[in-house]
Amino acid sequence: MQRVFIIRLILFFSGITCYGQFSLNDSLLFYEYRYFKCSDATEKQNILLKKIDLYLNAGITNSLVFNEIKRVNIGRLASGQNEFLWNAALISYLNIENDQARFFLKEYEISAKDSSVMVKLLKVLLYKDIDTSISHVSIAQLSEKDPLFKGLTCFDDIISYNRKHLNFYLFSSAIVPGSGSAMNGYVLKGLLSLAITSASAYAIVKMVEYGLYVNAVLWGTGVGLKFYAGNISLTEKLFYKAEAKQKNKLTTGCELTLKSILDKYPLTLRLK
Amino acid sequence: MDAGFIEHLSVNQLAGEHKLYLNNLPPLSDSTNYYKTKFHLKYFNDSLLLFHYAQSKMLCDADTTLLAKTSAAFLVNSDRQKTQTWFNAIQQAPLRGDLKEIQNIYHASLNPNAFAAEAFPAQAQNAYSKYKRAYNKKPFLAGALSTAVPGLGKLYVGKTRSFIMTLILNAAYSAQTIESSRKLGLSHPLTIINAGAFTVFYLSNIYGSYQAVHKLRKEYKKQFLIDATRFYN
Repeated sequence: MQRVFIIRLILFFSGITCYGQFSLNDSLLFYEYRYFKCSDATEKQNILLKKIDLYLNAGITNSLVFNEIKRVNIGRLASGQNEFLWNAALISYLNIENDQARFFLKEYEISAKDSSVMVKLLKVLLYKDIDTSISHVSIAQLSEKDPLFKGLTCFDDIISYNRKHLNFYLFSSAIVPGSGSAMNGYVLKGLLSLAITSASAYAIVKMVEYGLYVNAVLWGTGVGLKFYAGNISLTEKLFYKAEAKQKNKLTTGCELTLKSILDKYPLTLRLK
Repeated sequence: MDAGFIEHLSVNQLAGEHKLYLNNLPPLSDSTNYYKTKFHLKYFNDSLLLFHYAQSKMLCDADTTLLAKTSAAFLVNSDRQKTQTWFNAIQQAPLRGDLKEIQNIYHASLNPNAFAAEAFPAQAQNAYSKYKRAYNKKPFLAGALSTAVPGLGKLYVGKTRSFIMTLILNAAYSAQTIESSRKLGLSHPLTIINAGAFTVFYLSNIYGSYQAVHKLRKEYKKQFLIDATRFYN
């Protein structure tokens, strides 16, 4: 009895899913056909807006919607221009098409004259990597409303974070093999470098003692030198690895801050 | 069926709507299969393309542009077996214009000695000459040359730098093996390590030269096909 119930439940949900999917695709095709047959440019844009609404109401914000957004001729929109521009900016941002997103947001600001928290927040997210002066102004304005937004300056910390004194670490590794790696926080790797380089040097000295000059030169240049140079290049790698680790740490912290901000001030699509 | 609408869906890259529209058409109709062939050419899926082509052979064969574009797509994007299936399938199609040239490209890719470079578009002639030269190089000869003089097979393939490096490395390994065997004896661990390293480098130089010919052929064949078919896409 229990099994029959579970099977019925699965069939019911799969039915809903299949029907829902079929219905959306059918509607999209229906509107596309209307768009194709329509000769009025303004009406064509309205049909595209309906298609976009269909996607958004189904919770789809991927490249398919972005593709539809790119087809819309903004100048020909008769109504719903502001909603479209806002949604377009947000969807472009979600699809990591930041240039497009900035364009739509700019158009939206001009058209809607909206200076709400959502607009400023999206502006910060879109400009934080390319023009910090714009994002700083937005953060300052937002912080006046809620100090929580001050946390958004963490993006600057990530961009400006750079470890210093790489040459010191490299020099240290050149003098005492492995020491640079150890100072970067990788003690075991440093010790291993020291042991391998020392063993190679010892073997080469022994070869010279036994009169194996060809072996000493070839092992020395082929293996010994490689280990020695490898220890220095490892130091450089570990230096940048430690930097990336620290940046990841900062990013995680920043993402948590952003999450708490978005929980309080969510960036929402304008659905019909 | 609205051919203009299908074209519109194709131009606007609306794959989802395009597929759905075609799926709503009568499945056994020649026209449906013809448009499905075109669909699978645009969103390249070689298996389905072959399937729908077989279902609408007469209609597709009448469209030489479609055949030429599909042939070019198979040459660049598909595997050897499916490409062969495609070219076997279109054997009865009327050979006109581009299609004839693409068939020649296909046959030349199988046997470059059968055609002169002038038979192909100007932008593909250089790649074709290179491919032809690489095709006529023999892997076993490259291996044999590297057996006689380490790295010589690489020089035969045209890799001068690799030849010099291989020769120096093998000379160095043999020199240190000879030195250690003279001064420490054959059974000394250092002699065994040196001899082992030398053997590994020597054998891999032979195998590497043999493989280099295959790699070179494959590389130039691919370049030739890309250069030659670019004109038809």
